[in-house]
Amino acid sequence: MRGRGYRIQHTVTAALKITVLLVLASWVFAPFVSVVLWSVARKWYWPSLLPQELGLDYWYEALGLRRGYALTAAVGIIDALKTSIVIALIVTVITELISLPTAYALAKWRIPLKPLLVFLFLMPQAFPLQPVYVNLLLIFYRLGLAGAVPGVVIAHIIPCLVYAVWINAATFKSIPPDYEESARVHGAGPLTTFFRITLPLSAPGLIASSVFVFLYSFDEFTGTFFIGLPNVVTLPMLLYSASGYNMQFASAVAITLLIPSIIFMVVLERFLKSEYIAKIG
Amino acid sequence: MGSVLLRTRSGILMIVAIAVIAAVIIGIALQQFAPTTPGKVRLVYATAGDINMLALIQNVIAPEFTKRYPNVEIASIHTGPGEPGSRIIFEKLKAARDAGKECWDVDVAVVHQIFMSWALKEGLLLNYSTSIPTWKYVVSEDAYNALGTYIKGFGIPLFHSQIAIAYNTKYVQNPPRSYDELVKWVEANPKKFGHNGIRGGMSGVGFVVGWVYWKTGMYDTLARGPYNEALKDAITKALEELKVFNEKVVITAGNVGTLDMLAREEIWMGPVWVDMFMTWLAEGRMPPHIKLTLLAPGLPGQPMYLVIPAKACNVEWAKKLIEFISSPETQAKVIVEKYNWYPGIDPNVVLPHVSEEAKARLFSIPPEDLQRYGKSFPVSQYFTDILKLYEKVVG
Amino acid sequence: MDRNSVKNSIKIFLMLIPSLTILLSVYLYPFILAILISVVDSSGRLTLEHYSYVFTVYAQDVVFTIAVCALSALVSLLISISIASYIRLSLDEGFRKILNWIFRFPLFIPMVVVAQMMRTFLAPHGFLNTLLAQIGFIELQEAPNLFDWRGLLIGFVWKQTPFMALIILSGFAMVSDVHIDAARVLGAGRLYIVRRILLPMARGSIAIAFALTFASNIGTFTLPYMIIGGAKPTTMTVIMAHRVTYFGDWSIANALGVISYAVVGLFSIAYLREAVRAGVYERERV
Repeated sequence: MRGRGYRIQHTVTAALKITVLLVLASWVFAPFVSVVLWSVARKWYWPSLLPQELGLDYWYEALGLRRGYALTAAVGIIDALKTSIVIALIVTVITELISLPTAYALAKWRIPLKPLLVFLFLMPQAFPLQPVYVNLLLIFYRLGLAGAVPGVVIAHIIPCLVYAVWINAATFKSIPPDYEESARVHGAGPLTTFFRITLPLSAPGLIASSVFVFLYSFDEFTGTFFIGLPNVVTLPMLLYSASGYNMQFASAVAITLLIPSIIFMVVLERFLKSEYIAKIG
Repeated sequence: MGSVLLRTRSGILMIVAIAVIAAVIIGIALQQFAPTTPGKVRLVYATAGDINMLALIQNVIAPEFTKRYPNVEIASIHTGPGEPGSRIIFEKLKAARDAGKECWDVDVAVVHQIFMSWALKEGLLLNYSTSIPTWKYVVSEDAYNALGTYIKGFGIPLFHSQIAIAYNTKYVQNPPRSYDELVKWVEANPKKFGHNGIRGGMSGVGFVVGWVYWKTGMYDTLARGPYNEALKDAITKALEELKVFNEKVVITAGNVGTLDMLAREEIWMGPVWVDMFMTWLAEGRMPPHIKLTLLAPGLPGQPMYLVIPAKACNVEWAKKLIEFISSPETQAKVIVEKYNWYPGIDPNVVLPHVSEEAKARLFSIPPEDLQRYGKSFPVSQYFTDILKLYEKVVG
Repeated sequence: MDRNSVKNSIKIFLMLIPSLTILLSVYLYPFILAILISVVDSSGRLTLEHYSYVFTVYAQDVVFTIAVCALSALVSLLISISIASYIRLSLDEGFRKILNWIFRFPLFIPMVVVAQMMRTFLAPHGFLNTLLAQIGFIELQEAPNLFDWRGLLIGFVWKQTPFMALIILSGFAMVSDVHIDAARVLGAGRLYIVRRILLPMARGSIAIAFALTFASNIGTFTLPYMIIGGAKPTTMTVIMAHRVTYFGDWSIANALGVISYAVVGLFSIAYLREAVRAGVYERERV
């Protein structure tokens, strides 16, 4: 019997849900409103809440459609965007490939000196990278990797490995051993078990780590800067050039940065999730 | 079992396929980024400073220069705002030298004063400037002395910029004319003056240096040397008084932080770089009722230099480019009119080419004030002392 | 040693080798160099003077950095656990989907932009306060200046929460529905399920999320530089940049680096050991 009590409860839960969404949405989006506004502001004097004069001038300049003398446009967003995407994709693929076996071993096996490994694999995140990149530059000069895409890719892989190894290790760790054991009992080899059981089961974690690696590489600045100069210019470098100085231009670049990241995430989720569901179901 | 094996194999195949694809992408990327310009000269120009420094070369200088010399292509690099930008150029050059490279990545660099002593100590610069025709227009003391380092021949000032006090005319009708008056004003208006201390950029550093000049009264010694360690006591005393003063002011987040707070009227007064201030005005981010003034006994300013690394790949073209940039016409039309900087060479040869309107902007601080209250930064040992003592005494 | 364990060691070695090679070849040398620089004086003798300088002049900043970064990671942790639990346990498909996309947004914004954004948003006369004042919520004259630990906290939490939530959510996603449904049938409330099923089963992911967030907070330069700048206390990264920029002083910068590394290491190793400890196919304690 569905009486009034049920309906009231229903309304309350609905109200609660809407409140949760509203609070979260304003927390997340409100600060970004000013970025969007700045990207189209031609004149914005306090205390006006909105810009007094709007214009797309900075977008034109950022996209390389027009040249101004207070801004950079010769490089333009588009070229830098291409470079950024190519580098981020390569970094994601390589990092994931390298990290999978390590993460698996760390998660599943007894390994001598594990604390030391834990330490080692945290290093690039914990220790400030700038001095490391300066020294790396010296080595790369000798190897001819300075100022080239492969050098930048290697520079990105270092901190990305931390994310990939740890997130993937945690993922493998949380797969109950029963599944793998029963596969083994039924005669599957270790590789089969890994590809047929472990990998599909760990899809959510692998998606998460790939997304982080992609985003990290896509947003990476310090390493690109030291290793990549003068030939490799990525979007974050443009952003850094503009940072703080030209609010409008920086805002336009920031909004542009959003697009590939979101596309990457959506595609990856769609692709892997269907795969994952198919395998389990 | 067979089918299981097959699946395993397909898994491995998938991974191999991904690896191959990755390798192909890398290959394509490599080709795309390899600098291939046969018969052309690729001149690499690295600049520190704000983004307008990059625009200066990319959008204004490079197109003009390439029009004259079509075989030269200018690749410009921006190493970032403020002294950290110069530091990166220095680290880059040093790394190239330490790696024993025959010719370094950078042909022309634009750097801050502090760079000159680092680079000369390491022998990273080429002695070039007296050999180019525009040297005859170079009159400023800055071309000989950068923070106490003798630099004749190693750099030509690209422009000169000055730190000034910006004030909001809505709240401040009679701006202070000296540090003395400023202290009184701050007493009466607590938390309405803001500067960025010494860790957030040079406009705050300049204010602190000006304070030390005022309190010690030893500008000549501090700015010209010779170095005497005994002065540390006097500097410490000056900074102790600054600490008291700081209690009634806002410490902002960097050069831009000060401009931000001025624009939003959170503070009514604060030290800024004149050229940054002018650009903000032009870009509609600084309300026009905010004006500039200087304080007695003076606030420092500094040039940026055009330098050539000791092992630049294209020395002759680098010199040609610098000659072009330091010509009176370029200085007038670009440096003064477009960018609101004070010229790097003799103003007497530049000003005849400058429009009246740009002159008015340039002289928003009267030239005689600039003459009197525009100072240099201290020689590097004193400069280091002031910065280090500030951290110990003020925090 | 029997043949099996030899074979095992070789297997482990082979699996670790790709990542270890990269890490050791490009990272270890520069890293050791950094440590060396921090303990050698200008004439090449061993010394601890750089460390003692750090502790006399910058002690306050070191403590400040650790406190703010840990607090931020903690707050992010609480928020992200709530978000992840909501998404995992809600039966309302639509609600779950919307929530699942909204919370991720900050992931896509680089730290530089976050810094710049927070600077215009949180300022005393910034977007937020001006808006609140126009609605008549606050007086602009009394608007607080949040550009200290509070600004940092807000910035870090805003940027890092989705990162943590996504890791934790992937941990939750791997908890089988069977456990949750069983608990539901037995009448367990949502809170109970979170506390007794989700959290214990995903503790590995949670530990990793916390350790990584804490580490990356400590290593962040742009946010503190653009929010706090030259004021005191500030973070270790800002001081490192200052030492290098103005004095070319890698010694103290590296000493600070080693300290921050030690802190992160100590902080995280406890968590991560928990996350990777129980090896060798032993049963999970649920």
